[in-house]
Amino acid sequence: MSTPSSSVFSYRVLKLKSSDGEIFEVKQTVAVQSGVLKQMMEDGCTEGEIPLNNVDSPTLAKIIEWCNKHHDDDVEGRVLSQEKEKEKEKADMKRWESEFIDALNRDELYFLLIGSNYMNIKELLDCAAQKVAGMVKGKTPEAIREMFNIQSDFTEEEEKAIRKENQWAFN
Amino acid sequence: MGNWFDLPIDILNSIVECLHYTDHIQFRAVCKSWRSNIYNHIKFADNLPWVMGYEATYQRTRIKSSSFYLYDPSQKRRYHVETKIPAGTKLYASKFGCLLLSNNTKIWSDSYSFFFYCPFTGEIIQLPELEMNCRLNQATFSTAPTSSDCVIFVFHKHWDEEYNHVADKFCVSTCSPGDTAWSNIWFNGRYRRWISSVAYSKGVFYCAFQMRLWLFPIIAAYNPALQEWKKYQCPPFIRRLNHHHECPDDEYCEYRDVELIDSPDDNGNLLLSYRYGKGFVCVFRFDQSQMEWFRIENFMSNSLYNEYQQFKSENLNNRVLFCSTVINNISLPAVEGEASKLASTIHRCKYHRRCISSGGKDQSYPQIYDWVGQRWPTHWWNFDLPDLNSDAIVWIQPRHSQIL
Repeated sequence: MSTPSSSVFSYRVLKLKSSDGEIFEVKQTVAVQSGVLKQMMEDGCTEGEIPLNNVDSPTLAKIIEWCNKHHDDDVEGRVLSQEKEKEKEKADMKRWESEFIDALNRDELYFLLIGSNYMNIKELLDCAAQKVAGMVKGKTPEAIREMFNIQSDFTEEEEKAIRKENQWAFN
Repeated sequence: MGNWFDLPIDILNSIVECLHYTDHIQFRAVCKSWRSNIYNHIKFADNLPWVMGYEATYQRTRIKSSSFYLYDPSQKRRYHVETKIPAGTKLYASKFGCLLLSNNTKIWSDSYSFFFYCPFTGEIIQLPELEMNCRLNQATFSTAPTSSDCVIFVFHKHWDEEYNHVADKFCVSTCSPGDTAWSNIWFNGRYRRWISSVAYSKGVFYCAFQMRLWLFPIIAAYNPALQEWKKYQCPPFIRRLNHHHECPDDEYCEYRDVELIDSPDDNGNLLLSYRYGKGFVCVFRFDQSQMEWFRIENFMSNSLYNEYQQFKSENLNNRVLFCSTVINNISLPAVEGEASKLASTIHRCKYHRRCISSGGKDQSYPQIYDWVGQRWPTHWWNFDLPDLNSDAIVWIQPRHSQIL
């Protein structure tokens, strides 16, 4: 198979099928942020619908929203000349990212983690992981369990042993 | 509904990398799958070293209780760890979250029991006993005590009772965790200067000797694989300094200090910082392949700069140094998180004074350690080996890799 020239490449569209059967069309230049899709493009097996069995449609919509925002505009010939402008762009992007992540509820955040990990979108995974870390910060194991609706599966002895290991941190 | 407890391990890893050490401990205590030990080589979000202090309370002359204090710079919080390690225990090194300590096993004997202690978990690794002269020694270790290639290194000299001076030979003792005995190798040579600093870099243990004010330091190194002892030149700039000020005026003569700096987190470089007179510091990197010292520009802050400039230089950007007057010193890359704001600064933990001074070319960096208590003890200077006492503070870097 011959490799398409870059201009053709950028306007080709992938059809992503979410776990609940909805089809999303995404430009290749945008989809390339996903390690999995990038690999498929390189292997030339992106014909037809690409099933994403671990990602439901609301999550996939979120992921595509993220990728559209982060997709590298330089291919369209826009050049950022000024250092200052770059800095501003970066700060704007950071603000957008935190707004994007903060707007999610707990379940949405969970499925975004799963989806971005499944599709191998490193930046999105890191951003979501950072959000979880921020939620965990300064909390006790009990408070963390309550927040994420987790039942402790430690026996009483195990719980004691864990606390003993780093006693100072639990006081 | 999201099942947070069965997050895939890759995702858990990504989260843990964003956590500070103390949050990581809480995080691991949530449920079994979050506790899995896959995080072993994970780096935490806090890249700055903590500070550890020691305190013993007495009832008359008997020790009532003793404890370590752990100061977390990211939260500016102090934690308290009770311990059975007695005051007076000799402290040699603080690396990979572990302390290398020794106790005199019997009073009036020259037999010392060495051990590792991790104040974060209370774990201990006992090492074989070593016969040595008590005052003239120094020790360090190569890699984390849990790793299979960890080597403990002790340099000791003997005091010749008959002639009342340092004997003409010295001993290098090495062992690894799990060994039943030390391997001792004797070398001829008289090091009358104090061994002021030891460090490990790329398979070799380096020692710096310095005592008399008008002598420049001697650098020597032991290669445990080749069982070889070698002397090196100290940086020529330091020799020049000493030559110029052979009869120095008081200002420059106040003190001279040489510190070798380990950097396991920084390509294993060997750095040397030399302090001279009042607040004058120069830093060098030793290039093992070329056997040459390179001066590092960014740390220089003195009128002697012009002279310094004549020597081979290197721009070692983005480093932050954590020195201690007596225990091992640390160099870190200042690229991420809190460390990135501290590029080209030196933070000095004054062991016997229980205070930390921070310095850099300009004063615009954040004062990370200013909240760690300041205390000026009764003995303002101490040439003895550091022991655990209530004036003691050292750097300590939390690590996940646990002993057990």
